Amino acid sequence: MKKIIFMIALLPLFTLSCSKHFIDIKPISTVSVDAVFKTDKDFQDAVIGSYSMLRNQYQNFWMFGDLRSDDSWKEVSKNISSYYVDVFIIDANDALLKSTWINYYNLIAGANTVLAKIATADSTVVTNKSRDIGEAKFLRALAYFDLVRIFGNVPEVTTPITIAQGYKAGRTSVEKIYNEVIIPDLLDAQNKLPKKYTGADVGRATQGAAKALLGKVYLTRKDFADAETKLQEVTTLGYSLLPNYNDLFDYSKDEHHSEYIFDIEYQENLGGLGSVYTNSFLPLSAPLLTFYGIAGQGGEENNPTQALLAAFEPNDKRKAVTVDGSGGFIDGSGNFVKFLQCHTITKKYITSESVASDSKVNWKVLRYADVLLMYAEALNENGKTSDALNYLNQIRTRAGLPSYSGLTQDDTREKIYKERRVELGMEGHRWFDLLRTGRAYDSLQASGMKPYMTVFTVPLSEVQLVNDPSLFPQNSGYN
Amino acid sequence: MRSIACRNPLRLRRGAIPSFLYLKLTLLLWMSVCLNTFAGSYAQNITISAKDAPLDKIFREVKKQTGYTFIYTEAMLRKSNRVNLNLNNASLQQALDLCFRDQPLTYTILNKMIIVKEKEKMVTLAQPPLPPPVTVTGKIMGPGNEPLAGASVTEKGTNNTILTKEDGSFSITVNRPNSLLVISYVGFISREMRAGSDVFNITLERANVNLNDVVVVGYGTQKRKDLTGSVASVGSRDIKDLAVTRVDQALSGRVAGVQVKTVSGQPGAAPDIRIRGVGSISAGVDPLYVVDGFPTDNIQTLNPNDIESMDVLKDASATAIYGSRGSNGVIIINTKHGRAGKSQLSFDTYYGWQKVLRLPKMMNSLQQAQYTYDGYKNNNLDVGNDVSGPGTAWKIPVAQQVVDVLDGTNKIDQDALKGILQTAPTNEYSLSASGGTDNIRYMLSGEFLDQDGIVLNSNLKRYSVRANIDAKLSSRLTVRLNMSPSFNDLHALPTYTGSYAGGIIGGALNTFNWVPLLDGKGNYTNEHGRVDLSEIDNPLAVAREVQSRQKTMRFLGNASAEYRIWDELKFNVMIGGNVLSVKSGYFKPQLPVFTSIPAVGTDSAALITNWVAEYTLNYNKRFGKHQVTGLAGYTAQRERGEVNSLTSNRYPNNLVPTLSAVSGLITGGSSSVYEWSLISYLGRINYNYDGRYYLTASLRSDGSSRFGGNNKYAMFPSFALAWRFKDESFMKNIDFLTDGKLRASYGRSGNNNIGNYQSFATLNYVKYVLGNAAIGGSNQANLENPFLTWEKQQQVNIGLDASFFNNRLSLTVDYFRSSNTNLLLNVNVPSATGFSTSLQNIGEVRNNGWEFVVSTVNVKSNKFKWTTDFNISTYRNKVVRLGPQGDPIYTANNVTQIGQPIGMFYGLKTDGIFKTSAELAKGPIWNPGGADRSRVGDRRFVDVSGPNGKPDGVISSADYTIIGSPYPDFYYGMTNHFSYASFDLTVNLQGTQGNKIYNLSRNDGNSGRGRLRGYTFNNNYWKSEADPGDGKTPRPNNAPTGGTRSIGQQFLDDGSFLRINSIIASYILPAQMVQRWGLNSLRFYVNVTNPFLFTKYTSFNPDVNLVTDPLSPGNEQNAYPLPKSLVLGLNVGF
Repeated sequence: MKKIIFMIALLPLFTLSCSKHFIDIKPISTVSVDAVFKTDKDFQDAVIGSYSMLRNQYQNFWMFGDLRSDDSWKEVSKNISSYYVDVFIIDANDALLKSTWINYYNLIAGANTVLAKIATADSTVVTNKSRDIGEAKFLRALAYFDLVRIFGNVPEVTTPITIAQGYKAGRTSVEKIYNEVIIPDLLDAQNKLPKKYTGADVGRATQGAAKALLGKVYLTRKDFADAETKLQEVTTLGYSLLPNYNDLFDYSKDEHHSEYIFDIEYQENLGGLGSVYTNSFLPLSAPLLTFYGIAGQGGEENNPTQALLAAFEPNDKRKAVTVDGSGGFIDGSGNFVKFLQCHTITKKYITSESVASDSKVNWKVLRYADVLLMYAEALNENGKTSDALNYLNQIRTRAGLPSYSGLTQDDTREKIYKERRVELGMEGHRWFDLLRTGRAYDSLQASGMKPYMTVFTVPLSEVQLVNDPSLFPQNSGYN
Repeated sequence: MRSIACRNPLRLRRGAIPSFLYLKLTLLLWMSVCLNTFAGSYAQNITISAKDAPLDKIFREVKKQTGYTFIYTEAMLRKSNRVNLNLNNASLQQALDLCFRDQPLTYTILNKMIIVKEKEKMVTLAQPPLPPPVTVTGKIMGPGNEPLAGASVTEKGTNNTILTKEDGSFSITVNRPNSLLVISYVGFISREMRAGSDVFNITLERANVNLNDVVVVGYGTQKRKDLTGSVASVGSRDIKDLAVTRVDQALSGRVAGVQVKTVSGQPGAAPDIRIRGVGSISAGVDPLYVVDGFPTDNIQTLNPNDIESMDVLKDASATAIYGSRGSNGVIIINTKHGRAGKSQLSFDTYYGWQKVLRLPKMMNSLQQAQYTYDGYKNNNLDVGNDVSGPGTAWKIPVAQQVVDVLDGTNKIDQDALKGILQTAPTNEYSLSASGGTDNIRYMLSGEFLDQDGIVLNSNLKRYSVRANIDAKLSSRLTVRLNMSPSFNDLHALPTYTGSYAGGIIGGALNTFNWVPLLDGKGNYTNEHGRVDLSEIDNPLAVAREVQSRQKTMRFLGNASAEYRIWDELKFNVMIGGNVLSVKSGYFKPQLPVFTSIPAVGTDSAALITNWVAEYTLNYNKRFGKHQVTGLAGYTAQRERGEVNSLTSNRYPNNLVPTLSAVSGLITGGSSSVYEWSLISYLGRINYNYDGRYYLTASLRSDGSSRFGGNNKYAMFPSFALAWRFKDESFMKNIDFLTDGKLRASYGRSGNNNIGNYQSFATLNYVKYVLGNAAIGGSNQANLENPFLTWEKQQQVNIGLDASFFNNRLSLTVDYFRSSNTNLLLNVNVPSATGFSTSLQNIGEVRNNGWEFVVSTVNVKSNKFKWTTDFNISTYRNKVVRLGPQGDPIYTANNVTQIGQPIGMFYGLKTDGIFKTSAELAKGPIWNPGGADRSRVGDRRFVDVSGPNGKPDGVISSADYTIIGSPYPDFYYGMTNHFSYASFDLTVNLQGTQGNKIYNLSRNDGNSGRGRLRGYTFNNNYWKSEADPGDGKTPRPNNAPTGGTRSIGQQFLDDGSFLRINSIIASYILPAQMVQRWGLNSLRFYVNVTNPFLFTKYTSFNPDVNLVTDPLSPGNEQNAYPLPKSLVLGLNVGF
C-alpha cells in the first residue's frame, strides 16, 4: 500500500519534469521550409513545385484563350465563370480570376525563392544549378507573360517578399514587366536550358521553348525585328512539322514529337495528374462517352462556334478534328446519335480515359507550327513577304490546301491571321491573337465586349487589400 | 355543526353516500384539483404549539398554514381526543400523523383535501393473534454511499414512521415481520422493501432533476442548489427507452441553449450540436466532450444504456475550467457505477421498425413529361424556332422518351425513391450487472446494437463492453477503473460528392418516374443512357453494388486513485487512454450501369492514440456558516494520429474487392502523422456563506503545441456570484416561493481547434508529370505565423433559478452575452506574396441570448403524476470584425459580413413573375440584350442596386443582397411525463421557428429546366399571358432565361418546424407476478420516434446542415433522410 501511494505521488513529478518540451511539437509529415534548399534535390523539387502550379492553372487556360474569343461559346449556365467569361460579364469577385491571379503568383513566389536561395548555392553541391535557374526563369517569364496578357499591369515581384511588402506591391506597367522580367529572364533561360531532354526529364523547359516564347513575346510587342531573329533561331533547332496534322491529337502516340516545343504535361492514372479537357469539352451525351471509352460526364464547356466552323476552307484536313458540326456522332453500329444540347464539338482532346477528368491530354503551349506562323508573320511585317509565304505554305500544304503565292504584304498578313485561327483553333491562341493584332473589339462587340475589355478585371480582393488607387488601381472601365 | 364541514357543500359522511356517487364526487374533485393546481399558495411546513387542544382547532390552524381543507363530520369530532403538539417546521404528513396518532380516526389526503375517516373497525375484530413486533435496523444511503440523514422509513399501511439519523441509520419496530417498508427521501426514488431481514443497507436512486441533485461540473461535482454557473443536466431516465444509437441524440429538445440538429438519418450519424450560438468562423463549433473525466471529441462508441448523466456546461464560468477548449460548451458524460448491495442483473432489449419520416412531393411521369416538353417549347420559342410540328422535330428537339410518356406509349410511373428506401429493422440487446460490497463495487455491461438504415444497404452494428470498478483499498485510498472497449461496423452510403451523379438520394430524387430502376429482366437500367438529359448513376445499383464500410475499434478507459490526506483534503490521480482504430474500405465495381468505368477501390486506416494524466487536490471544509471548497490541478494530454490511405483503379475484374488484386499497381496513396499536446494548470475556489452567498473563481492556464512559438500559453479566468435570496430572513414568509437564487458570472474560455502545425511555414508535397511519369516536388504551403494563438471567448451570464409552490413550478432564466475575439481567419493577403491568405487571429463575433426553462408538476397524487419540462432559447449572432479590410466572406450561398450574423443567405430577392409583356417592360431585366435575358413568364427579381450603387433596372450580381437568415428566431423543446401507477408516458418534442433553408436539392430539379425530376408545387406554372398559372411559378425553360438559376430566394424554404421526437409508453408488471417467474422486475415499453413533423419545408428533413463549416449554415442537398420508427422494448431485472 505504501508503495502504491508513493508511486502515485511521484507520477506528477515525472511528467512535470518534461513539461518544457511537452508542447514543443514539430510537424512530422511535412517539414518547415527553413529545413530545405540545401541539396541539389531540394532545388529540383522546388522547381517541380513551380511546374505543378502550371498544371493547375492551365486546366482553365482555354477560358482565356478560346472561350473569350469568337471561336468558342458556353451555353447559359448558373453561376459558372466560363459562361461569364464568354459573354463578357465576369466580375471582379469571380473565383476564376482570383485563382488565376493566385496560381501565377504562387508560381512566381516559388521561382523567386529558388532564384534567391540558389544564388549562394555551391554548384559542386547543387550540380543542376544552371538548369534550375534556367527553368525557374522560364517559368517565371511564362507566368508574367500570361499575367500581363490577361490582366495588364501587375505587381512586379522578383524576390521573396513579406506580407507587409505585399501591401506595398503596386501595379507595374506591362512595359516594365516585359523589359525588367520577361525578356531578361528568357534571354538568360535560353542560355541555361538544354536543347533536349531524354527519359525522365522529357517535358522540362528547353532552350527551344525559351526562344520560341521569347519570339512570341517580341511578336506580341510588335518588335518584329527581334521576333524574326529569335524565331529564326528556333527553326535551326531541329523541330519539324508532323506529316499528318491529326497525329498531333492522336494520344496513342507520344506527345513529345518533332513538332512539340513546350507542353503542360498531364498523364492519366497517376492519381490526379490527368487533365480535365477530355471531359470538359464534350457534350452531355452518355452514348458518346461510352463510344470513346471516357469515364465520367461531358462538361459542354467549350463548344466551337459556327464562325470557327465557317473559317475552314473546303477540304481542310484540320477541320474534322478541330470542329465537328454534325450535332451528333456515328456509333459503333453505324447509327447516327444526335446530341441534345450542343451542335459542335472539338475532337482535339478526345482520348479514352478510365477515371473521370484524368486525361493524358497535354496542353500545347508552344508547337512548331505556331513558331512557323509567327516567323512568317514577323518576316511579312519586316517586308519579307515572299519568305513569309514559304513558311505559311508549309502549314497549308500539310493541311491539304493549295499554297499561296504572289500576295501583297497586307493580304499575306490577313492570310497568316486566318491560318493561325484554323491551324491553332481551340488550342488557346485566338483571344491573344485578336488582342495582339488589335482586332478583338471588332470581332467581339456583338458578344458583349466593351472597348476596355482587352484586359480582364483584376480580382477585387487584391484591389481592396492594397486599398490605394494610386498604387493598385482597378483596370479602367471596370471601376 | 360549527366546523368547516358545515360551510362545505361537500360534507361527506362515509356510508351515507352511495358508493357510485362517492366515486363521481371523487372524480369531480380530481378534475377541479387538476384545473386549479396553482390556485392556492401556501407552504407545506407547519409550526404549531398546542396543549390539550380540540382536534378541530388544530385543523383550523393547519388549514391556515397550508391551505388544506379538512372534510369531516361532527360525529367524528365528538369521538376525537384532545391533542398535545409541539411542531416546528414539520411536514404536513408529520403533523397529521401526530394529530391522528391517538385518535379513533385516520385520514387520507386527496390533493388539497384532507378527508377524515373513522379507523377501520375490521382490524380490531377477532383475528388470529398477531405475530410479535419485529425491530428492523439498517442504513439508508444515496449514490456513492453518502448516508442520507432524515430519510423516512414507514411501515406500509400504517402511520409507523421514523426518520434516519445523521449517519443514515435507522431502527424501526414493525408489527409484522413481512410488513413492507417504504423508504423515501426528497429528491430520490422511494423504495419498498419487505422487512424480512433485520439489517438493511438500502441505496436510494436519485429521482428527476431537483434542487438537491448533484451536478457534474468540470473536475468535480456540485449540488444543483449551489451552482453559480449555467449547467443543464440530462439523466439516465431521459436517455433510457429512447432507442437512440448515440447518447448525444438524447439532448434533442431537452436542454435550453443547446441546439441539437439531427442532420442525417444514417445509422450512427452524429447530430450537429451547437451550444449558445456560433462563436467561431473557422476553428470548429462542436462542443468538447468529457467522458468519465476524459476529454475527447468522439462519443460514437458509447452505449446509451451505460450513461448515468450528461451535464452541459454552458456559460464561461463553467467552461473556463476547460480553458482553451471550452468556448463551444462542454458536455460531461458520466457512466454508471455499481452500488453496494445485492447484484442487480438486467437485460434490456428493443426491436423496432424504421421508415422514412417525410418524402418531398415530386412530379409524376405525366406532370414531369409535360413540364419538360413545355421547357423545350419555350427554349425553341425564345430563339425563334418554329414549334408547330411534333416536338421531336423541333430545331431543339424534345427527347422521344418525353413524347412517349405524353402520348401514352410509356405508362411507367415509378418513384425511384421508393426503390431505394426500405422499412428497416433496428434492435439492441444489452446485459448489465452491478452491485458489490462497501469496498468493491462493479458495473459491467455488454451491448449489441444492430440498426439498418432506411436507405438500402446501410447498417450499423456495435458491440461494446464496459467495466466500471470502484475499490476502497483502505480507509484513505479508493481506486476506480473505467474501461470500455467497443467495435463499430458501419455500412455507410457511398460518400456523397455534391453532384447528383454519385449520390443515392440525389440520384433517386432526380430520376424521372418513367425510367424504372430495373428493366423487365431485373437488370439495372442504365440511367446514363436513358435519362440522356442528365447523368445519373442508377441509385439502386449504387446502393447495392458499391461497398463502403468503416470499422472502428475503440478502447476508452481510465484509472484513478483518490487518497484522503485529511478528511478535508483529497488527492486524486487519473490516467486515461483512448485508442481509436478506424479501418475503411470502398469498392465500386466496373459495371455497364456505371458506364464501365474501371473498378476502383480504396483502403484506408487511421490509428489515433490519446492519453491524459490528471492530478487534482480537492479541499472541502465548513467553518460554521462558511463553506469552502477548493481545487488545484495539473493535467497533460497528448494525441498522435496516424492516417493512411491507398487507392487503385487497376482491378482486373469485379471478383476481388481488395487491393491484392491490382498487382501492386496503386494509383494513389498517402500517409501522415500528426500530434498535439496540451499542458494545463487549473484551480478553483467555491465559497458560500450560509447557503446564501456564493462565490466561485477559477483559473486555468493552457500551454498548447498548436499555438505559435511566441504565444504558447494562455490564461482562462472566471468569476461567479450567486445569491440564494430565498434563505434571507425577509423572504421567509413568502410561502409560495420554495427556492430562489440569482446568479451572475463572467469567464474567459477558448477554442484551440486551429489545426496542428498552422503556425509553421511548411511544405506541400506535389507532383508533376515528366517523361510521362509522375515526379515529386514541393511547394511552400503557407506563410509562417509565430503569433498564432487560441480563439478567445468572454462571456457574461446572468441567471435566475426560482421554484414555487413546493417545487410544483420551477423556473430558470439565463441571459448571456459572449464576445469571441482573436477568431482564426484565413485573412486575405496580397497575392503578390505568393499566398492569397494567411491564418491570423483577427475576427470577432458576438452572441447574446435568452434561455428559459419551466418545469411544472401539473398533477401529483399517489398514483397519477404529470410533469412538464419546457425550454425555449434564442440567440443573436453578430460579426463584429473580419479581416484587416473587413471584407465579407462569401461562400456558395452565404455571406459573412460585419454587422450581420455569420453566414446569412446571400443572393437575389424574388418578386413573383413577369405575367405579361407589360410587366416585363417595367423590368427589371436580367442581362438585357443577352440571349438569356428575362422574358414573359420568367421570374422577376428585385433591383436592389447596380454598378453605381443605385438601382439600374438591370438584375446582375450587384443586386445580390441578404435574402434570409439560417438562424431561428427561437427554438424550443418540451417533455411531458405522465405516470399512473405502473404506467408511464413520455412525450418529447422540439421545434425551431423563423429560420430559412437553402434547398440545393431543389436547385437540381426545380430550376425550371425539366432535365431532372421537379417538385409538384411547380405544376401550376406560367403557360401564357392568358393562363399565368398560379401567378408565382415561372415557365419551364430548357435553356433557362431571366437568371432563374441564380442564387436567390426562389430556393429558400421556410425552415420552421415542430417535431414530436418521441412518444414512449411503458408498463411495469406487478412485482408479485414477475417474482413468480423468478424475476425481480419486468417492464415493457413502446417508443414511437419522430411520429409527427409539422413543417413547410419542401424536402425530407428540416434539420439541415450540408457542411459543418459555420460560414455556410442552413444549406441542404440530398442528405440521408430522417426515419420515423416504432420500437418495442423490454427491461428485465433478475
